[in-house]
Amino acid sequence: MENLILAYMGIIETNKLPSETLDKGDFIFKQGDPINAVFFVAEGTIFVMKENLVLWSVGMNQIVGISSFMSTTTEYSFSAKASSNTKIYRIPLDIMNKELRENQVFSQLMIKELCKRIDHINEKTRRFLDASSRNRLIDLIIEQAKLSNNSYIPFKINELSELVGVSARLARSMIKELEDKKLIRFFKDRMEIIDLKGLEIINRLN
Amino acid sequence: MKHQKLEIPSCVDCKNGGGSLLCSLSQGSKGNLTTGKGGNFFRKGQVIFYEGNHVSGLYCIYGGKVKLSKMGEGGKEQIVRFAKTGDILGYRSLLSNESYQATATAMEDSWVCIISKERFRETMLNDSSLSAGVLELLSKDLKNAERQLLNISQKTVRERMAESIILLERTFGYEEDGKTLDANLTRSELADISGTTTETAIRTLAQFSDDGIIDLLGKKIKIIDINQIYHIAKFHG
Repeated sequence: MENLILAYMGIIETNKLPSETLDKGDFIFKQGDPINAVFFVAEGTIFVMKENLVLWSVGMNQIVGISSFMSTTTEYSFSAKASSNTKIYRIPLDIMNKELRENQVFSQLMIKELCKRIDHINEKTRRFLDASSRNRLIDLIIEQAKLSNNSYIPFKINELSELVGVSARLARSMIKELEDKKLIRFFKDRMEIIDLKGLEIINRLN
Repeated sequence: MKHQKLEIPSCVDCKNGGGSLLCSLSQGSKGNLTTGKGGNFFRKGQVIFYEGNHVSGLYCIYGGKVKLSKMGEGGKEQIVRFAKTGDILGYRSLLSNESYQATATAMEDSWVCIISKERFRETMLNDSSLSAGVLELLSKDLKNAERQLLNISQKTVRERMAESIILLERTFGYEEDGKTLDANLTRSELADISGTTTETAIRTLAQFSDDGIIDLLGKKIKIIDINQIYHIAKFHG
């Protein structure tokens, strides 16, 4: 990984690529924008998002946009938004392509990095699958509460049951359990978060 | 496919129809890969390699279908991907110098060539078209992994099941009738790809059948309305 960071820094230096500064909330690119570069994050963190949901975050010394670059599509499949003040370097596609074509060491490092990234994502999926439906439901509530930055989440029981992959009956019984613990209050078409910290604690204990 | 001794074909003479990444290499590189190559026949259900095993080489499917899966802590299987004739297996572990990250199991009687890891690494260093091909494969794997995570975390079971059917259609295609998917999967395997329980998978497939989108013929799935499946999956390529 360190070698790959050095390789990226070498590319930036050789091509005299300028840094760009982003404020929190600025988009580097939006889903559907034409792919024109990959981005090296020198400082700060980036949220990778699909629609309005945060899928994962990318930190310092990492690259954003690599999966779009490597694919055959012409548009970014995700959005990338600065989640803090961030410094990035834009590496245009022609430079990336040239390096991959002519620099065998860089190409080998990229292959290793992609292998790691795929394993990391598969592991994340496996963790998600291993979680109980109760954990998944609480995870979903916590995530939505944090993302919407609001005490109210507009979910109906059938939507919750679909997202978690359980029957509506089971979703209702799990919701009732959380209501009994005074962590949430459920209305017909929305949910009020009463105790977000309590939800996080109960999720860790399970 | 009857059980018979596999005569290991040279990569130079392989009649796989150009379907493999290795088919597009130069004759010299193919010759290099053939040196020390082995082969094996695996009956349906037989394991080709296990998750956690040391990497013994690169596997190339000469004929057949294989599933790659990982085992979760709760014993739940996660199907990572499928592979068919011409596809290669084990390259990620080989390239990152780690043990196999998934278990490969023959979904039907399969012939598999085993290429020496040293030969593969050596060829990759000397042939930039192999590096480029591997990068392309990895980018597809990355896209699939991201899609799978997105599906599991964001999509409903109904959407995930529809997407699983699309995955089977794209990987294995159709039988001669042009409607029946060319894959035999148990309901439990369909549940594993869709990240749900077997019971929910059965219920969802029955709903698709009731809605006139598919026909269920034992382990076979006959597609009645593929557009509707794409629509349910919210699939955009």
